[in-house]
Amino acid sequence: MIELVLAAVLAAAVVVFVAIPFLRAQPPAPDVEPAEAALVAAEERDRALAELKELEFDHRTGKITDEDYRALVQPLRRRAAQTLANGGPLSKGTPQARAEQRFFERSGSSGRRDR
Amino acid sequence: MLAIFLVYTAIAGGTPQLRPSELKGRTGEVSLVGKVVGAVSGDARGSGLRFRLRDVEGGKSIRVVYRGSVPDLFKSGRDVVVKGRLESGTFVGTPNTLSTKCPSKYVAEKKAS
Amino acid sequence: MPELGRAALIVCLGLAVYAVVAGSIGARTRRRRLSESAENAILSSFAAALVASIVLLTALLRHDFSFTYVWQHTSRALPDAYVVSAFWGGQEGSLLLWLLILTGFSAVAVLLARRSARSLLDWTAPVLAGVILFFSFLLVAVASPFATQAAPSDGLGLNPSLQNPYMLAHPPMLYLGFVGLTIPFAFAMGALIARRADELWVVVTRRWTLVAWTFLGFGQLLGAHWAYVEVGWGGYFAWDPVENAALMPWLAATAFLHSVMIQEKRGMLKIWNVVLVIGAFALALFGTFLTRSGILSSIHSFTESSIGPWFLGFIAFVLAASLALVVSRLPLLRSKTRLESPVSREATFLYNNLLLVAFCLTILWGVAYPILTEALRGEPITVGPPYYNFFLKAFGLPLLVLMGIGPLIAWRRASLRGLGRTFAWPLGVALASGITLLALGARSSVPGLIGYTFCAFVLASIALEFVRGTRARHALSGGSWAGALAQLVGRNRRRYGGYVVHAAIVLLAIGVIGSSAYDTTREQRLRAGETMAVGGYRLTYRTTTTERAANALELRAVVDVERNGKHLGTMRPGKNRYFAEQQVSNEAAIRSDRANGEDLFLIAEQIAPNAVFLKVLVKPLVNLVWLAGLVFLAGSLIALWPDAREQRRLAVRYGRRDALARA
Repeated sequence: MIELVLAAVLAAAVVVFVAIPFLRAQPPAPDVEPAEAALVAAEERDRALAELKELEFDHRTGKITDEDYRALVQPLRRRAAQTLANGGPLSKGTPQARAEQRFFERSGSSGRRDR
Repeated sequence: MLAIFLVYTAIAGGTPQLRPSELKGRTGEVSLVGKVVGAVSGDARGSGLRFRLRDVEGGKSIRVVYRGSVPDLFKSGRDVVVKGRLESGTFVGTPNTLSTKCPSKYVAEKKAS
Repeated sequence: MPELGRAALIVCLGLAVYAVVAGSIGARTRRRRLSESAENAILSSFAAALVASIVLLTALLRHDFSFTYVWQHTSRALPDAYVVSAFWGGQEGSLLLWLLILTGFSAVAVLLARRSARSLLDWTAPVLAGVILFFSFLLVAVASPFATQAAPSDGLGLNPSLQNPYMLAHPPMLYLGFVGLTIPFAFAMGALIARRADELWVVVTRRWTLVAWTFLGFGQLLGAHWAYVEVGWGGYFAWDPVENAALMPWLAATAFLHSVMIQEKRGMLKIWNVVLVIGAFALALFGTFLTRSGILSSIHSFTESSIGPWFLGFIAFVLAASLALVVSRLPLLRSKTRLESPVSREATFLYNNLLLVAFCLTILWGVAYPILTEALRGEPITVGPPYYNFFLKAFGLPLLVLMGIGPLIAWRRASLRGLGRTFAWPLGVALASGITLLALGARSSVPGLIGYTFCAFVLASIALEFVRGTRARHALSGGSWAGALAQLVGRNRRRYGGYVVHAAIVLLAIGVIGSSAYDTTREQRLRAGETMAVGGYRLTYRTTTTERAANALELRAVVDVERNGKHLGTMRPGKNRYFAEQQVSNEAAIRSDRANGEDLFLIAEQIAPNAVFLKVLVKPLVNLVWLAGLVFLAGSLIALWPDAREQRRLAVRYGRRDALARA
């Protein structure tokens, strides 16, 4: 007997929970997610910036020689500039954006400091 | 890629898996699958463990003699797999190829080296 | 009580059906409320599965033998811990465990995605619900754990060799791994159906894949350890179909973890990645099917098992539907970036992927071969360890080398001069090790020697990475070396966590090579007082003891161990004769040498009052295999550890306002 009660309670609870979205007065405000193309452009931009950063890191840790670094950094920087143009600036004002901006500016003058 | 596998398995070859009823007239090494019936005698580490094997579903049994490691679960009534070849009416097992099958549990108990 | 269990499963099935239908319509017509309702249905399905699980667990612990399942897998004398493990001991129970974990993970995924990937969830939810539907259906209509009978007085009991702590952890861990692979699959499919070209699905499922992969890997090592100490035949992996069942999805997942990095860094391999994630999921389903349906004894027992055909049908459906989806979205997935050079990190990752997938297919072929040959020729042909070991060496050795090369090589294009400089050190170490090992006698196994040399190379290159990185960090920010190391790892968790995992794999390789290429085996019958010599040890059999324990008769051969004249101790290999189950189990004696990682492994094959037939194995370095498991866990944890800066960056990218507000 108690089984049936428990089963009924489970079924009822579940139905209520599933119906909740319909019982709300008005539909919830949709979030604004960046449009698809903008999203892809943003990903490209982040990817280009990350590549620059990683090149820098590899250079600093000695994995890439100075000549290789010089050869690789120019095209990467150009690509990064391009993607910044397409993908838009990083959201202004966030500490993340400021740090990334600083890095991007600094990577022009980087050299290996521990040599 | 597929070609490599096909070639390897064709040349190096796996072993055919047969039931005792299918064994008649077969030469060469095979894997025999069946149920142990009747009394088990002898010493696997001595002159040889002797028992009879028949198809799991039923039928005539054949003589088997085996030397080597014997899994703990081995006993009359168990399903086993053993490699070897038929020699004048008796199936002679290759050493250390006897293993039992444990139907409702995860892993077939093995004593392979 | 079984009624409640059955009802709960029916509720779960109903919810899954609703979620698939409502979720699909909601996603198609962009009606938010329908989608939300479908998500709620998934959350509720967890509740339903939980209720059903509690019913089964309670019945087990109460020894309610009116449940056929409880009767089949437990007995009154069984300790409670193992009664619990009987939950997954049989087919129906393990399906319920799958459902419980699946609905649990799905619920968590839904809750997390609601906050950070709302739009992706629209189509992901129906896919998740589809998988839930399959398992609920099986449990309701084909293999119910809640079948009842007239209750006998006692149950059939659990196989004694399954009654130990490893068996409490090993199956659930593997299931956590198998089920975990469903989540990345569902998100990938969700993204494809919605025609998304971005990589949110990869970002969202990164941790899920890593967690599932870790569970699968560690779970397999646990299983291997169980086989080593419990079953005790002297080995830990026999290429059994059941073992292969877990290895294949793990290999696919490993390949996926690596190739996804290329997609992340260079935007390449999108199609490959989607196909891999589908493959990993399909293999996880296949693995569950292999371990549960008994297909491999022969096709005959396959049809006896009720769930076999259903599983195969579902796997076929999943493959067909998802691959069709991929084909229809090909233009979306095509990337413009090309591989710039065959000597670059991308290329190394690609070779690594090819090798891993090749090895996975090798195993699949080996597992399927008996089934194919039986279908085509009427008799199954089985392949054994020689086949698998050959390909393990053929693919594994190059994979080892790649592990050493990958981290040291640059992205896009590596100049040969640069390579020469970076590789000088590790190559030097490898050469030195090779020569030393040769001098020490490693020549007895050529693949072994090559393997060891490669391992030295990889370890050297990993060490170099840590050293270089710490030096650079130290130069940048000063402070102590330890601090620099901590900062280095803290800022690059995935990279250095990954390096630790690589180190674990190398340890595993060394342990495997040592214990299989350089081991020694001797067998001898000994009478009281007689001695045998194996691999530097001298073993003397003294006598046989018999002891009566609660549920078994314990026979032990007392053997004294000596090495170089020094008495090392006494070992007691033997057998247990279980009264209730009428079974004998082998109790091997293992002595692990702390200093050199070697194991002395004693099996008392035949045991009599005054004589014993001993099989002795000396397995060098085998303990590195177990150590590797711990290092593996540590590395995964480092890689998994949440990184606040990265979270913020992703939040900005994907428009998660609330995260910004908190940052």
